[in-house]
Amino acid sequence: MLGVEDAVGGLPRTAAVRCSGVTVDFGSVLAVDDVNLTLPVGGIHALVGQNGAGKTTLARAIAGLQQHTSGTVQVNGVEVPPGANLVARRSGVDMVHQHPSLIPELTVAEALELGSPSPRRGPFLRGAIERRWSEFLESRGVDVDVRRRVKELSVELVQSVEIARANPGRGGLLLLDEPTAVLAPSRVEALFEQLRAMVATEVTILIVLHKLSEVRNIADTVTVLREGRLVLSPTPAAATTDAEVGAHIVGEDLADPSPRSRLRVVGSDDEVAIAASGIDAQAVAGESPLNNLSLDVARGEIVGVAGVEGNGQRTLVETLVGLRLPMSGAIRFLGVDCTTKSVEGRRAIGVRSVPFDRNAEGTAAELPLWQNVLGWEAQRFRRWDRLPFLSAAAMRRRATERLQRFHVAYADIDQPVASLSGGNTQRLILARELPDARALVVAQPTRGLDISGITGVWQALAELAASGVPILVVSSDLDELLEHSDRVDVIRGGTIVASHPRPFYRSAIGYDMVGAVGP
Amino acid sequence: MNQHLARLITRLAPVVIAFALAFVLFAATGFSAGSVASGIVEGVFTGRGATTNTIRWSIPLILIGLGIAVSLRAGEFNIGAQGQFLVGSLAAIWVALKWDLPKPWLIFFAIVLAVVAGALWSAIAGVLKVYLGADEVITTLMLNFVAIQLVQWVATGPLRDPFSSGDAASTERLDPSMRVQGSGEYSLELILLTIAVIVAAWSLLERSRLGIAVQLIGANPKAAAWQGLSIRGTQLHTYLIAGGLAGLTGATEVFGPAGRVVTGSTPALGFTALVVATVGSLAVVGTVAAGLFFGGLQAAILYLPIVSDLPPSGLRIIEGLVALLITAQLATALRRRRSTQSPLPDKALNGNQPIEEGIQHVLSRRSRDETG
Amino acid sequence: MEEFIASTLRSSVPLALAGVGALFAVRAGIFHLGIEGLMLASAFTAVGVAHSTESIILAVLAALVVSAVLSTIYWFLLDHLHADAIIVGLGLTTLSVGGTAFFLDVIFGQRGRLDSPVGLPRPIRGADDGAASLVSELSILGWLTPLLVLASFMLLRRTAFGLRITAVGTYSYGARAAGIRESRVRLAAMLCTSVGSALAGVELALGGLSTFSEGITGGRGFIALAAALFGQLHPLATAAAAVFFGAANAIGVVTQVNSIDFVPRPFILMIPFIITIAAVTVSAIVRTQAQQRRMERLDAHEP
Repeated sequence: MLGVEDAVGGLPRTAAVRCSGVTVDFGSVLAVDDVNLTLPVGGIHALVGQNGAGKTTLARAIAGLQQHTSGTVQVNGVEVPPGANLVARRSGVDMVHQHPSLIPELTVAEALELGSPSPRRGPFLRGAIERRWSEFLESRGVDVDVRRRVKELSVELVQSVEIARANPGRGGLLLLDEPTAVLAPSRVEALFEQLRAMVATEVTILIVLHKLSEVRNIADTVTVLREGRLVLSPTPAAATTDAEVGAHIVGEDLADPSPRSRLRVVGSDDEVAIAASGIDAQAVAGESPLNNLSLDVARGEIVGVAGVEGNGQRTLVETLVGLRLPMSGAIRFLGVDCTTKSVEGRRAIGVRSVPFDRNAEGTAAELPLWQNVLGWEAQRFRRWDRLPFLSAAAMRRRATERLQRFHVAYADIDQPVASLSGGNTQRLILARELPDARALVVAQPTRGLDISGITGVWQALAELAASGVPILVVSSDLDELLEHSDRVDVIRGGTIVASHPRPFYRSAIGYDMVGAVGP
Repeated sequence: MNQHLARLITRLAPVVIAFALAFVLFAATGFSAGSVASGIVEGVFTGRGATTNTIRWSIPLILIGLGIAVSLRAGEFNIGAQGQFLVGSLAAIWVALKWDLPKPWLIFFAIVLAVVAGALWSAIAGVLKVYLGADEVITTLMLNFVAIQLVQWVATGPLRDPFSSGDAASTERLDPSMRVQGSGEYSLELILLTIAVIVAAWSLLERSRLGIAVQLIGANPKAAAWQGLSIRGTQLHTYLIAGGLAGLTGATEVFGPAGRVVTGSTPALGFTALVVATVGSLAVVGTVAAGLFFGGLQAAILYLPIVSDLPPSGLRIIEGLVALLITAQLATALRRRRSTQSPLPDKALNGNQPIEEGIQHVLSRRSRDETG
Repeated sequence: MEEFIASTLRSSVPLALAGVGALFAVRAGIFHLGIEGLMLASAFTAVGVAHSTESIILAVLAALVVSAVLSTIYWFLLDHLHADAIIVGLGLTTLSVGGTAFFLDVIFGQRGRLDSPVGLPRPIRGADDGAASLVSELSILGWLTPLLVLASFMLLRRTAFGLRITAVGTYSYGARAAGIRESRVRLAAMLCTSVGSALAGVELALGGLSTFSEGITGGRGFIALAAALFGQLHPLATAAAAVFFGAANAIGVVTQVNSIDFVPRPFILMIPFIITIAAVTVSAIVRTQAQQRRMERLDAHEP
């Protein structure tokens, strides 16, 4: 099963990383697909690609944290046994994950002691571990009071402590998974300084990045993954242009892959049906805040919002839906000012939404189908107009009608939503949100769905748009946006940086997504 | 239908196991399992006054249990029923002893005041939780102790029964003519009231706006927020309902079988009612059934000494075992054992949302898997 | 006054033992409502064994074992059968209430109470004068309590074991990333809790009157949990909270003896509970505000 032995034996130690035919199969998804990758010793190597391109999985496989299905991985000439090292740190390789792993409740010294490969047995003196870790961090150029609790430190300080801890030392390999994602742009440079200092001590760094400006700033070579496959082997960063890399990231430059062949139903007065202007909003954790964001959607128009994850997509959707209020700016739906309206107030005028996560936000797993497909609208089904009693028969009738209309496959209207497949769950959400929608905000409509599920979702959205409803779709899947939108807005750093009409040019959009300048 | 049956079986399995364990214990300690079983049956159904006693104890458990079910359904772990019940009792006994009104009016005002008192007592914890984030398990638990001291004060001070003796202080007894039920007899009024509350609770949960909101919020507050529900308002309502029903129960006890308020209030109705609501899967029908079951058990505890030499506390063991086992997911555990063995599931480090937590959060973090 | 201090010390010993025990479980993320039950079961076991063997050492050991077994069952229900911690905790308490009364009757043929021929030794006994009289009622466990509190502090804050408990309870992701086996740590934490609860039960039963009576714990298990929460899950602060609750209790005892009429006694006894409610609320407010500040600080970095 593991094969490819001939590539292993007796090679000189010339490569920090050598992957041959590495595949990681998650059953339903091929996360990494036959990757052959060689990185030289020393230097900083960037790994880029769209969300879901397999960057993190590949990095984890190299670190020995992810079992690869086939192929071989060598680090500094030593083969990494597949999945042998689920937890413990190996000498010479370490990885810093996207999420901090230091325990917030402990002091820095305690947290480092706990995570060290050889924590002390028996009681320790506080001073002893504080001295130990204080010296350790000092030797690695991080200035922090180890007596402070981790939770009191800023994000960037926690990160630099984690990087210092993970530093494998001279000749080792360090993997970093999107370290800049959690940082304010002004703090990125400090991180890069830390990394450059490590490279000076002959550490090899493989860093997963999103922004091309950062790649250009820090990396010696750049490697691109798309849909699990290696599409650009390590290339000196200086030898490429942003446009080239951007094109590799998003795929072939096809002009208008499949023109959306239907007429736009535009209101008689060409009224702007969804309008946000100059929105500033506090960020959802881990995202850019919204920064003077403006966009508009006309009646019957489908506008896609493309962008690298974390650039304010969730904040945007939650602000439009009414889950959070903007600090400034105005939001209008169908000509009605909704800036300070609650979710319920917006729904009253016909604003509907499809949330990001169909299980965590879209449905209640244990409740039966009929309750989920009606949701809070169930309150409308009165038995007698003047009395507060709801009619079970009316509720069930309407629920059945909706489930059937949206082709949800089910056995019993009382079965819990948890028993549905992802595609059927998404259809159930559409069945709840679409029928009465006069304006629609959709987030990640097809994430994790199979091909028939995806087709069904877009068909329903297209029909709705054809009836004159404005639709805003936020998705991290650029392909589907290009295929189905009338227009694609690009969000970066919490603002819309460009609006592309048809025909679309992938590379232009890709370039806007990864952009040369921060917000 | 099959599904309902399966659900019923998974619900009943812990109860059956609890009984089995208890009977093994009884047999091991030298009691005849058969005679204990027949003693229980007599105490619950066939013995003299058995049904009366079963109903007598079921009524408060059902009333309080229904309120708790509403609260738990909304995801609020209000365990302060005992305190709310006591405060309601105090309001009722105060009206009954101090107000000078014709009997129907007296009972009416006593009930209204008891409901209001219970609801407000519960709302203290509700407001602290919903608007300020104070953990409701701690606050409701503490409010129970405060209520116990209040009873202590009332029963030893303002409304003291000068003739009470022994450890437990007691308020004055209600004049028998004022009560709707003496000991050892049926009270049609209380039964009708309970039925009315059951119907109202069912309509509320299954056929009202608030019920829909409670279910949606309890099942997934995030999804509820996306659909525009007012989460805080709904949660606060559940505190009022739970407290109101516990307070009402205080009034029914005062005017019904108890006739007074005693310190160290005999069996901790509030806690048993919590078990009743959980055993009943937080559904109205289930809670009523569980209420009858535990009411019967309570009746049997009081009856058993007459026919069997098994100490009545033995039946308390059954109660404890049921509570211990009722939330255990016996079936899933078996399935899970087969499927996963890895100490570190793959997603762990890939983790999408490690929520930042702290000691403070631990205080409020509890498993609520089984409350839906 | 002397009477008050002596009474405070006596009442706070079981609260401190159980409270410091409780914080292990709560720190590991388990909201432990079974302390009351563990204390009751331990108290009964201790008196039962002492009654039969007249050996105080065997009595303490037996109490520890029973408490540990019950805790292991609790842990198993939570970790392997995914039961609800709160319901199981209350169930454990109910089970202990029933079980102790049952076995009291079945094994010893007693209803209500059982006397023990031996009690915990009192190092300074029968001193009537001055300072010594304050502590003459204190059992050996009372003397050991400060040491145990200190040991708990060392265990929690000065060993990798203690850090692991905090990690598991507060930041599961980080704990797993550090290679910690969460389930084992939770078991270990619950066993620590079982020790505290067991000693508290022993002290209650054998520290003073050398007697077990039904419901001897009288809600002290819940108060101990409140002390742990009030003490922000810190051993020393928890011990201080226990002394505070003990003092409140002592006021009750003292006022009962020397009747004070300006405030009814129950109102004095309520104070600790009301303060706990206030403390929980204030800490919740502080927490929300700290979170908000952190968000704003994060925002401020953005241009």
